[in-house]
Amino acid sequence: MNREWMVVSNNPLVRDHTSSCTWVDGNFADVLFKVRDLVYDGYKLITHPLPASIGMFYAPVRSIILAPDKSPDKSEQSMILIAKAIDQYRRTVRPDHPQKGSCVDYEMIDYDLWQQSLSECRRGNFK
Amino acid sequence: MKLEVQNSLIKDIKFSQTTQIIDHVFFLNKDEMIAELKKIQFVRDVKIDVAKPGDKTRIIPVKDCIEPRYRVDRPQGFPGVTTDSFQVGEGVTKVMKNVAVVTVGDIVGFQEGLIDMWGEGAKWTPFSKTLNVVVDISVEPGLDPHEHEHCTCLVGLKASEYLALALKDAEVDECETFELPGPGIEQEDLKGLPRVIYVQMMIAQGLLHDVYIYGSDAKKILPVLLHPNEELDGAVISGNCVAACDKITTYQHQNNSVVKELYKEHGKSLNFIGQILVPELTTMDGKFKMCDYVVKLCRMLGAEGAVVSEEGYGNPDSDLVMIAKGLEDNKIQTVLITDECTGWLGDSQPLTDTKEEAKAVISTGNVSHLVHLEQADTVLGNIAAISNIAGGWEGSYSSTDGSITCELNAVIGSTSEIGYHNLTVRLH
Repeated sequence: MNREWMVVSNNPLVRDHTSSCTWVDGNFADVLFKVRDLVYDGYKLITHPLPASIGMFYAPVRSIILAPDKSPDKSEQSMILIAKAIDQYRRTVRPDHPQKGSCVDYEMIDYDLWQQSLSECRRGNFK
Repeated sequence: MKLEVQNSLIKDIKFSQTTQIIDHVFFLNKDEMIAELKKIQFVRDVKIDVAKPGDKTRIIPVKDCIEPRYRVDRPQGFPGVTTDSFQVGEGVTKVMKNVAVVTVGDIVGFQEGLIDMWGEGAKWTPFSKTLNVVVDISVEPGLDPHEHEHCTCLVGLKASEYLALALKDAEVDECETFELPGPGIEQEDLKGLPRVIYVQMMIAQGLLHDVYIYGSDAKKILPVLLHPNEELDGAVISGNCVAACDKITTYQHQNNSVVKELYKEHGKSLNFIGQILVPELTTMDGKFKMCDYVVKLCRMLGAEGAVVSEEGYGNPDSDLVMIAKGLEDNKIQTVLITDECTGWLGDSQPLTDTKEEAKAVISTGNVSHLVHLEQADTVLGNIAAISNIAGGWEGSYSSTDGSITCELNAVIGSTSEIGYHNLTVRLH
């Protein structure tokens, strides 16, 4: 993994495959909150905070890639995006929504999506 | 480019010793078909059943639906996937109308959706109206999920190819012609009509979240310009199993309603200049790049209007509204097609992202709408999968009365974002 990228995750499978993991001992929402804090501390979103499918909204795990924002005037884009993401996550996955099992499978899919995101980063930046 | 689609209307399917079409009845040699499909690497077993409209049959978990098609005097198969790549979209293609291959089988994690052939469930999916050849796939144990996904996909496509061979000498009942001159060719009768382009977004993100164009993995390409006939003729296949309601099945790619509607209006209210396929990536940088590239292509082609359809829900909403902004900023009037995730009560914000410029939006339905589906007489596949389907949960299936309560999320094609579905909007 590029030294500057870090992944914020509560997925043990991701944590065990990188030294650049900021571990979150919590649920999907806790990962979003940690990302929000880091964005306010000068990081920017490399991957979108939300998944692309409703199936993964209900996943117990989530992994999001960040990097230090080195632009002279820090973009507000990541701040706006993570705020919208938290808002929509709360609206979509309500506390009373029935939860799913099969955590191991979700971990595997989340892990694969994280790997694909890394490949996308490398392709996109000729690294 | 001109594509002539010749439909052979099928009224019934029966198992037989010979695979052929006689008097609108499709006779299927099940054993021969199974033997053919078992030749595919990693396939351990295949079961074939038929589900007909009105049968009290539930199919679950469905992976993909495919329409059997036969190209006259051209190569068969899905280019770049089941066979070597070749250009499609020009020539004559015969279609086994009213028939769909429906694949089922667990892969990993959450599964794909369900199809009910009768009652309440049938109302919500277009695949309750087709005669479905259901292919239940088991693979070698311990297979890597990517290989498993690949294998399941191949079996479905190959199954459709096997069926399609019966079309070779089949009677043709109706014809449709799709012909566009190409965006660079000026035609007198099109002058003065707004130049409209179709921008089709597609999930391209990884395991169970992929799509292939001529076999190329869409997450590794830039937006690509297609002649709309290419998608209609098998250039695009689905590789995603993420949300049954709004995933675009291969069948829906073959019958893209947006393409067909734009064709209907071509030369009347608009000049349909082409189609751009856009990968929905995971990274923000990737999303910006795809968006900029789409806007540039639309400008280069001289588009004055665009119809943009989404696939999926969540992070692609950002791509959708960014594309709308980019196009509107360049004076290209833009209409978006998306579904909504507004909760069980329908009172939540529908999309995860917004922009002022996304002001003309067609909704294809609320994915969270709850439905109650009565007990089936026959289940093809595995009823337990409902607890791992997006839109279902532990307890969705009632072991007491055999019914299912789930969101539309779980029903195949129920809120199709390319409009190939049953829901509609009426003006009052």
